[in-house]
Amino acid sequence: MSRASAYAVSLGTAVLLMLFVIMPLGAVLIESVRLRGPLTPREMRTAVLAALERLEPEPRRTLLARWGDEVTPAQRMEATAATLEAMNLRVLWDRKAPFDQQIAAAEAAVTGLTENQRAAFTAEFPVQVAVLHKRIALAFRVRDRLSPAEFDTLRSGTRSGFGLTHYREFLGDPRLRRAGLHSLFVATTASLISMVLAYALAFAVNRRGTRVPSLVRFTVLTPLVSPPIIMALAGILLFGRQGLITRGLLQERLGLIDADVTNLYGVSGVIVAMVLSFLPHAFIILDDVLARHDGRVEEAAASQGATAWQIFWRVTLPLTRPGVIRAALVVFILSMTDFGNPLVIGRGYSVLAGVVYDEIIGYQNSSLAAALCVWLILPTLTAYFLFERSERRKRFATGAATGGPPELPLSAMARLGLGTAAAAVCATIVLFYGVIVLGSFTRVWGVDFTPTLEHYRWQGAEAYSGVGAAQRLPLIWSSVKIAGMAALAGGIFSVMIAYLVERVRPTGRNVLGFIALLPGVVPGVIFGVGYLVAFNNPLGIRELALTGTAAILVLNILFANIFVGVLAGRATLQRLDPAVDEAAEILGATLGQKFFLVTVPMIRHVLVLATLYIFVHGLVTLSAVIFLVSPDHNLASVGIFLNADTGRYGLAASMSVAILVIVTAVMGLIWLAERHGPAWARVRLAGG
Amino acid sequence: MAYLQLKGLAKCFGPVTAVNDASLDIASGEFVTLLGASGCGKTTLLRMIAGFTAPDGGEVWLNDRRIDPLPPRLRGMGFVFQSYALFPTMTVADNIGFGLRLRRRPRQEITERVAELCALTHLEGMESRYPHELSGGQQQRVALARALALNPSVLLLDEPLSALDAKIRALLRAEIRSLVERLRITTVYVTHDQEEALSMSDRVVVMDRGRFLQVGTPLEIYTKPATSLVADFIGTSNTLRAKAVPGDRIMVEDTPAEIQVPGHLRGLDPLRVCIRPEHISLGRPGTGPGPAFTGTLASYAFLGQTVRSTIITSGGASLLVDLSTQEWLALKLAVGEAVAWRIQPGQAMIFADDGTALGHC
Repeated sequence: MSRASAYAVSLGTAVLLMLFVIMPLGAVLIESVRLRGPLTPREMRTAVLAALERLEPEPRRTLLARWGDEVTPAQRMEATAATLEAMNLRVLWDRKAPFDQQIAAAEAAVTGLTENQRAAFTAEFPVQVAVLHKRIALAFRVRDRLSPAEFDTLRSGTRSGFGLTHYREFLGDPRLRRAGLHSLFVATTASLISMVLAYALAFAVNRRGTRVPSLVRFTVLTPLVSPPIIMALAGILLFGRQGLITRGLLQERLGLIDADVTNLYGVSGVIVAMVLSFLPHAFIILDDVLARHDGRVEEAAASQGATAWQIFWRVTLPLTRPGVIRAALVVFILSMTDFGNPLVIGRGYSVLAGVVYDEIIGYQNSSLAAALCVWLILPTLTAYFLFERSERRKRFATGAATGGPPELPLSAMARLGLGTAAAAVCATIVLFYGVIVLGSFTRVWGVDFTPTLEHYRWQGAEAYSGVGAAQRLPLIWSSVKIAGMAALAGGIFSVMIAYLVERVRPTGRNVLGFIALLPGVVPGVIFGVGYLVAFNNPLGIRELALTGTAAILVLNILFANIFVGVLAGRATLQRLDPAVDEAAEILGATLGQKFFLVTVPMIRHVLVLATLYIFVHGLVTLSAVIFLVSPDHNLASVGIFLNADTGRYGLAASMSVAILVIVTAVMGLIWLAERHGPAWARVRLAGG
Repeated sequence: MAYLQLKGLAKCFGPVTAVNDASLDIASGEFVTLLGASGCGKTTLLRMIAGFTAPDGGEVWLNDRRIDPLPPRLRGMGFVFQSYALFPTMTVADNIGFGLRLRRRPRQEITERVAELCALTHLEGMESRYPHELSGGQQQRVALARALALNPSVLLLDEPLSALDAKIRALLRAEIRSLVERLRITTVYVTHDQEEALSMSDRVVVMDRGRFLQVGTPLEIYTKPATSLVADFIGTSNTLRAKAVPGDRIMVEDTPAEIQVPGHLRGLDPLRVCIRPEHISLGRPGTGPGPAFTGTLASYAFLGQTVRSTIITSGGASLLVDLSTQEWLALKLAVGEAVAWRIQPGQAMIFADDGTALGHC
């Protein structure tokens, strides 16, 4: 029955999405309000009294009496002091004196009590003995009469409760507050610069401001598919203490500066690295907006007598404003949540995302990290959703993309300015990539520039994944393996979700579609922290833990990136005739046959795109997976970050180059297959 | 002797009733057409027969077996879609052989069957082409061949010709009709084109707003419409107001000329009279036999074999009249001239105000 199988598949997909998208995100929220720490003496006493209440009166009395007799003199003295404190009496002897002196002083204090006080003391003393010395024994004694949570609290003497303490910590702790302000400053600056640059470049590309638009486009978009922190790494190689330009040129050749003092480390380096890394994200949005923009509007303005300057400020810019805001917001979110670039090139300039990384990797304080994650994105995401909502209401578009750009000529000044900007940005990007390649073939950067291949031998533990000699695998191949698995499974899974939502149309399909898109708007660092806290000890069952396995990496990469395939698949299916599916059905095809024999061949270009996207992102992603790698299952992107962070620039560069080569090769192969391959390999849908 | 039975099928989409209590017995080998304007529920009814749409109520029986709980793939029907819905990634041969391949028939058998169907639908030589390399008419033939490949118990066609131009449409209409006649396949055909419905079907079901207005042979539908809605929808009709007067006569358009009607119609006022344009004759005032109505020629259009003229009656109604070109030329009328018009005897259809047919006169 195809209806039954449709239900089963929809249900299975929903369960998977709940487990691997909703649960990790929910886990971040739960983790952020989880409190751990020792109980105060007062809370401890309450817990002990509650446990004692569970015993029958007679056994309780004998137990307390026995414990009172069992204690050593030193323990008796401690309990005496605690009892006096509990009675709100001053402890009059020196608590730092040697034990024998204290014991004598305690006995003297007890004998000095009044009749009433002595009665109260006799009642309280056994309780304090239990609190101080017999808490664990008591816990096990009444274990079967306590809930697991009560037992844990009593046994460990620590609280496991919930509260907003970690959120308040961010506001109260000057270290965290400063990091937060740094993040805001860096992200604001980077997004403003990226927005202006991306607009200029997109304008140049779409309005004949450059003679080689496709070359500019290609160069500017390259960082999209590049390894992480490559810009910070290149920045160090060029402008660091041993930098090619700072030391080699400005200090040693020209004697202008001291590279140890004047270099790119710090806030300026962070901003440069972020702008270059996230410029393509802004560019892709603005390029699309300007390419769809119908130039007849500008021509109409010109026919009314507007100057080029007036046309830009009064017509073009207002019409493209939504794209400008969206581009700035995207770069802002990416910069806020980026910790790779600041940690590598920031050198003491701490940002909030970096603190999240430190709290988890350095202090295992995942609760505080989770709360900081929420602080990190809550304001931006709110702003983003508000923006999208307001846009949906007004949405001014200049017709369908019919007209093409305006044919008004650009002034020579504008062409010169745009051309120069495009050339400068492209040259910078090429220079940054070039120095990475150079660095990968250089023995010790800044010290010994002998050409060498040694960094490509990937020697030393820093270049390997797996601990035992038999399992050792160069990080690159470990990355390819894990990204490959995620891509193969995720590509078909994302197309399947698109098919479910658009064709099978089960109840709640819109929720299904929405959940699949969530990882697209949630920053990677949060998705990574979510997997860490959700699958470290899921539901308290140790055997279900995924941390430390390869599976958690595959799953994280898969679910973080399926949204691309889901979006593209749904868009394509919406354009295709749904009757094709019904035609297959009435000819006898089951759900699986309809999907694999009819739908997948029709949208195979989406399948290829989705698979490729997941693969490339699996190779270059850092923010999510860094919390999930283990010595047995490590990734090249993490290796690049750690090696760059510890000054092994050659190794970091060689792995970056290797990733670039693999990505280029795979994309080139697909391009070739599409252009010149046999018919079955041509992924673009002919006709249709 | 019903082969395909629809028993009280009903379907609502939210507040809209798409199909309401549709019951119909279709004999084996019969060609039945569901005819109606767009949105009348005919496609929904067809999709319920196929199993694409689950009915809210009612049953579908095929050969004395209840099939409405079955999914489409187990019903053994053939379906031809308005959009053809060919598999764009498969060749013509693969499209036609798709159902056979799903059933794991031997390769030899598939090849033979595909060749046979290509011959039947005049697709020889097209076997290795892709759908986008075919013309609309050829794509339609592939869709038909694919639907016939599994020897379906019932062939369902959903406006299969609506995307084609007029010439191909007429050609394919004849081809489909002769094909299903030869193969003796029970066929349900959905269309909004009355010419298609009248020319192809054994029986026509006229639908409006989810209800059956009339079920009958094309001739019955055309000559004896059950209601004024059917008369309006089938062919072109002039509807005029009328009232009954003593002596089994009615007065049309308040014009004094009265017509004799069969039976007694008093008390059913107001009445409506429908007359087809070809059932009115024109003449110059004062000529011709018997009583005549009067009017003025407002305009005319030359259509080839006929001339369609618009007359404004003395009562102010507008009336379409078709004359053969020869007759028209013989009359030598000019726009604005007064004319006399007559209803050919027995050709006016009389309806009560609620649309019920009351007879001819």
